[in-house]
Amino acid sequence: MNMLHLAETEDTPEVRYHESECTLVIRGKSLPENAFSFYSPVLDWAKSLSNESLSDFTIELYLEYFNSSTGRYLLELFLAISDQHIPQKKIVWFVEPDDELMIEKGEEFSSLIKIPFEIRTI
Amino acid sequence: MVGKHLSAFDVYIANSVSKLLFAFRGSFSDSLTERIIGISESLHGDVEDSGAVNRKVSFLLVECFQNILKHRETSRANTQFADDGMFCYQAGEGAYYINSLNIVKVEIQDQLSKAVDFINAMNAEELRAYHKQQLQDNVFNEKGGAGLGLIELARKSGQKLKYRFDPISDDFAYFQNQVCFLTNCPAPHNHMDSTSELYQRMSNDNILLLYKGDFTQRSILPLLQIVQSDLAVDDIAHAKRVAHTLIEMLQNISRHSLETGQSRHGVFLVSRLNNSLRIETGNLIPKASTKELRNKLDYILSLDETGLKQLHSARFVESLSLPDKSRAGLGLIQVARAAMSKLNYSFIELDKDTTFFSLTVDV
Repeated sequence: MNMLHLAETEDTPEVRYHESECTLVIRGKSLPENAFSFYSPVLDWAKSLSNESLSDFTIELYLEYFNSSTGRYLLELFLAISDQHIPQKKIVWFVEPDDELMIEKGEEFSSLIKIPFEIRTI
Repeated sequence: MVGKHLSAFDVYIANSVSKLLFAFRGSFSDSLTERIIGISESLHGDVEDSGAVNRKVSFLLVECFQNILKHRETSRANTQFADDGMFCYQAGEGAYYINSLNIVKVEIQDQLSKAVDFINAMNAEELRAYHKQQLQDNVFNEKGGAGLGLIELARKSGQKLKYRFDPISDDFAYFQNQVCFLTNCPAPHNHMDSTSELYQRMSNDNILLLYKGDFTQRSILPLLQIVQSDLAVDDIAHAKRVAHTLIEMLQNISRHSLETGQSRHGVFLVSRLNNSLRIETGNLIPKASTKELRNKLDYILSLDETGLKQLHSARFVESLSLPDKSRAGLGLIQVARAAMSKLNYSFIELDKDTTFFSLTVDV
């Protein structure tokens, strides 16, 4: 399976695939000027998952905040995962307990995609 | 400057030749210097001034900031003062100016004046000898006397240090000093009057941060950090709304502002209201695009919370097929949703092709 690891920078999150747990973790803040160029490799990677005959797959997000263009590519990533032939798929959106804005953002994603989307407090 | 409140447009017009104007009024923290240097470095992305100039200006910024921190205890010890003073940095027309303004006790006024006059009376050679002597004697007078900090400012800037006192009361005065560094300018301007006036206007409107300059990502990030760490908003839900709104507003300038030279210029102000921060941005846009933007804003303004939520979800899905891959077209809707009151906007026509667009949000 292709490795995926992008180190955290001042304006982009860490993106890392933990193969033993079949979990993709996105952690940090995401406000790049060009979200397309940052998320393209992640999307390409996600679209190739079907070839891996996985039985389950999880995306865990621990985002402090993200800009609107990042939102577009997160949605695209979630939809890409929804399309993959993996029996058990889910997304877990981690938020701090009082972070209303990120809770709202999670709820919006949840209403737009069809696979299990869980909002969990840290 | 016109108008009762200091607006983004006032700042834009009054400082049209500045490549950068940064003014911070409020509580000074140690970490602020780093951010200011970060902003300053964005100036040197263009090759006009060399790395050596950048290093010298950074050195002067740090030294001036250290000076202002030393006086911080005077304002902190007296509850009558709403702030520690102001730090103002500007660049343009071949020169860099650092004006700092802080509160001092009247009783140290003479001592301070004598120290600066003493340094100013020396030529470069004398300054060097005096510096050496001070280092050897290991005389380091924290306040008052002609300490190493002042000598370094005079030596590195190559200019006389300007200063003045504006009385506050029988016991206190504002001490302002100006340090400049010239790269391509025959003689320095005196920005002391305009700095005092700016401080008064910022105080009247409770403006904490004012910035005019480049809005590429490398300038936006330190600005964001300043708002997050130095204009402390306590509760996390509020802090997140502020951060989020700022990112969208500042990146909007970086995306949509008319390109002048190699950079995208704009103005950005943050003031404190009772329970919120007011953020105002201003930038140039092509006159031809005002109609579309006005319609978009009026439509957003016509919607209530539920309406905005529905519009956002609909546009969110549509964003996936936007031909411009670098954006989502959701910034303004998100700003409106995070705001505590309705957005305010204005268009000021500058010439047949160019309009100044400003947007104000309370968050």
